[in-house]
Amino acid sequence: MEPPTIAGPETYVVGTETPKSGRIRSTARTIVAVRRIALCARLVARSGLRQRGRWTVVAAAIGSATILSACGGVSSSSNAPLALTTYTPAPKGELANVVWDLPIGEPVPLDPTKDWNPSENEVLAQMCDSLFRINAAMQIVPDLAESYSHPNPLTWVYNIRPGVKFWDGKPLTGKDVAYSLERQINPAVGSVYLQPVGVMIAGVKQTGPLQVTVTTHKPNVLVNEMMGTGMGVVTEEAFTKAAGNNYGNPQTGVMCTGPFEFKSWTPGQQIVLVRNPHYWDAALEPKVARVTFKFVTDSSTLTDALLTGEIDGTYDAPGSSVTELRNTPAGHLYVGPATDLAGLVAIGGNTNRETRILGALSLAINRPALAKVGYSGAAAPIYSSSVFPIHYPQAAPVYQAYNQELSKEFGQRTVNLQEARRLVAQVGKITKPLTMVYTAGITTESVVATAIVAEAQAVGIPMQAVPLQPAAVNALYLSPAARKNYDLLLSFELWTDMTDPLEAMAVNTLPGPTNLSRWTLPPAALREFNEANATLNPTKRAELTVAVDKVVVKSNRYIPLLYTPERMFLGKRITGPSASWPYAFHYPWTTQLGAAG
Amino acid sequence: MHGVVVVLVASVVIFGSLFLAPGSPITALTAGRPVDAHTRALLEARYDLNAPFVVQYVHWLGHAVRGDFGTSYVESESVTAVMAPRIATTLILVTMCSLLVIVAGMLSGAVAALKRGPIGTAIVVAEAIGLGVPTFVASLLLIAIFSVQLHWFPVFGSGSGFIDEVWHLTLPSVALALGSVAYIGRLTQASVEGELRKEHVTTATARGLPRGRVIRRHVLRNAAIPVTTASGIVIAYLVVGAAVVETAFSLNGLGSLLVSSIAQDDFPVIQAVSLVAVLAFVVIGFVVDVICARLDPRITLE
Repeated sequence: MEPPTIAGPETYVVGTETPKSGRIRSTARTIVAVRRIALCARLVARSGLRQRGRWTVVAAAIGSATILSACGGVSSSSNAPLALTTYTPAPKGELANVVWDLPIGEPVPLDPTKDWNPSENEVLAQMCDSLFRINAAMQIVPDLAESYSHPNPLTWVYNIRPGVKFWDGKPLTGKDVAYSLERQINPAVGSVYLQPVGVMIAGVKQTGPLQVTVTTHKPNVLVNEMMGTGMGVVTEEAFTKAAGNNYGNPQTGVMCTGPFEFKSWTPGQQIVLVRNPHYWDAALEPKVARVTFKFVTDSSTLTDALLTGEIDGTYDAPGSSVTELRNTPAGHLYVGPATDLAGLVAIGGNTNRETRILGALSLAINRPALAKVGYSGAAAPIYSSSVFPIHYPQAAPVYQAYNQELSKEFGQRTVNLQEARRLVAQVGKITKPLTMVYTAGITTESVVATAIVAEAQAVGIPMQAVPLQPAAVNALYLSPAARKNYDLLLSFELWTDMTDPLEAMAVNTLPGPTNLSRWTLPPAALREFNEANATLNPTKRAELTVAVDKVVVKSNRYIPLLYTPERMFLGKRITGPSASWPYAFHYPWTTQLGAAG
Repeated sequence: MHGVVVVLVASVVIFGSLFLAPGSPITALTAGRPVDAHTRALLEARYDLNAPFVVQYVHWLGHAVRGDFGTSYVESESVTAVMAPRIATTLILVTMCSLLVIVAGMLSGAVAALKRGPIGTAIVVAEAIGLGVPTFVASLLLIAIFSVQLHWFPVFGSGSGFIDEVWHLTLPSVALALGSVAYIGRLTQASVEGELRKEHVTTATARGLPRGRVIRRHVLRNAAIPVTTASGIVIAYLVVGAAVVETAFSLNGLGSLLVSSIAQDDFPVIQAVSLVAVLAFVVIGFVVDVICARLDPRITLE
């Protein structure tokens, strides 16, 4: 593993209040449209209570008109920019129980082959060790793989840590590791990691009592790095086989080696984990006896629960409540680095003409203005869909320089508009309006969609925003036939598992079902991609990656818009975990939790 | 007999509508992640998704009548197990809410009709407000006042153990009942006022019967029939209509389960919850018929 070299996160500054959604399909969506109004109602009630005593306000607030008219004022309040924080103060003592929320909603079964969304990964990472972990500084560090070797470009050999035991006392062997990895690449299991990375693996073999060898079709560093995500999670073979299709469901649970054991899961209510007294990693000894995960998805309810201390903390704190959460004595809101962005995916045609229209569109969109109207100034403009401002610490200088270069190239509004108009003139009259799909019922999405349409039309690109229900939007991710009817998908969910930009590139630009546009890397760029993926030296790898990204940026098939940092709230009685995004679900951060005072 | 026909027809509609709905069960099975054609085919075969409509429907109904609604696509667990804890929560919530609607609604309506003057006016104004405040606003106001400020009730969750559950569900049932109480109150008032103007009431009063007896036997009893019918419909609606309150208070009830299952294309759960809702309508409708028959001997049960 590379030595720690991170410098970026502590110094990077953007605003606050960034509603970030994972692949949300929660009940919250149905009433989010009214959330802002509702929030204001609560704020009105609360401020009234302070000023005028209890009962006057009940009378005053009951009149709906008062509430509705008060709303505009509250939601338009602006926030001062805030520096990103990675670390929080170290805990001073132990706690019996911590209640944590999963705002994306209740997990699907806690089976690593089914866990792609944040909720599942967040819980699973507390119970199940992977071969590697991703720490708060976004570095990939050893976990169950004590060491590894790379004897030839197609082979990765993992030496498994001796003396590790599953919760039931059975020892961890190479057989369990090989079995777990095989599940990820077996098409019959249908793992969420099969595409695009799983298929890059040629075979998994146990090559010693505590050794597993993974071979790849081509030289492939990405496969090795992915062992730090849910793909590299190790579960007990005997237990998993016995559980069959029930593995990871509320009644059966999982069998792993991690610092917290699965205790119970009441559907719709909570998941309870208890400390594993025999955890192998002495450095990560839990200071909390019990962690209870709740599934409160509604922003207002979650905010109230955080303010009253009924819930101790959460990642992905409600974007609409940033002001309240920043100004409460009940706890502290940390805004930290994340690998997450909002952008447009071109799911329509694939001709040169379209490349130019999309190029004009990308130039026409005023990103700082979107950050203002959609996020109250709390997101930062971004011009690459795979290289984030904070990325891959081993090669941070290369990526930071690249991002500055992009900002310089695309950050000038007047030049952009001229160029956009020139491109549109070149293309000729666009008769059929571009259709852009977004998810109905989310304030930020509809505001951003409306702004994009206005900006496109200003440079002469006719455009239409189409709100779709969550189920219909999900169908777009899944079925090429469903995508056929639209040109663009506005997505707030373009986050990656990992800090290596090659992951996003593999997902977005290699042929396969995860590639939502039909655009694929041209032969020369594909050669560079493969070369980058075969290169171990981080700086060289980064330089090659940047070269590929330049081609992806020019394709305009993924139009990146805004970089959105992570928001973590910690109630006043707890402290410890980091406000870093991949860390939240690829590191057992509950081991860092403890009493604040 | 009517009830069975209603449930059967509803089951066809419920099952059929999901065939026409956007989205696909595969979305739920793969948690939305795109999969290749091979994996897709394997999943379709495992969940029997390629059979014709009639075959799938008969297969589903055959199991449903035995209480087996299949396996949730999202939870990998039997639908019955997914629903069981939620039915308990919904049952307590709906019972508490029904009591509020019946007692407060009928009482306020009757009082408003019989006691003119400031009390009647106050009730009418309160009812107008109750009808005007949306449930989610009521929920948030109640939370802001009674949970965040006064700390009398919890912000969210449905608790464990009967007393704890009642304590957790007090604010939700008040928020949910508010509109219905006002509605039933209005209806009771109109119904009682209508009866008061009827000839048989005038006759009874003219015959010198005591006012209390006239009100109880001739006014309230007759006025109760339309109110009972309406209450039945309102209460049956609460079974799944509580979704907004359940979301606001983060309760694990049937309403929020239905909404989240729809968002996630979890077809077996949607079918089961919808069918339970139809059953609730039929059962409550039957109870209402029995009560009406007791109130008015001219109404007979078939």
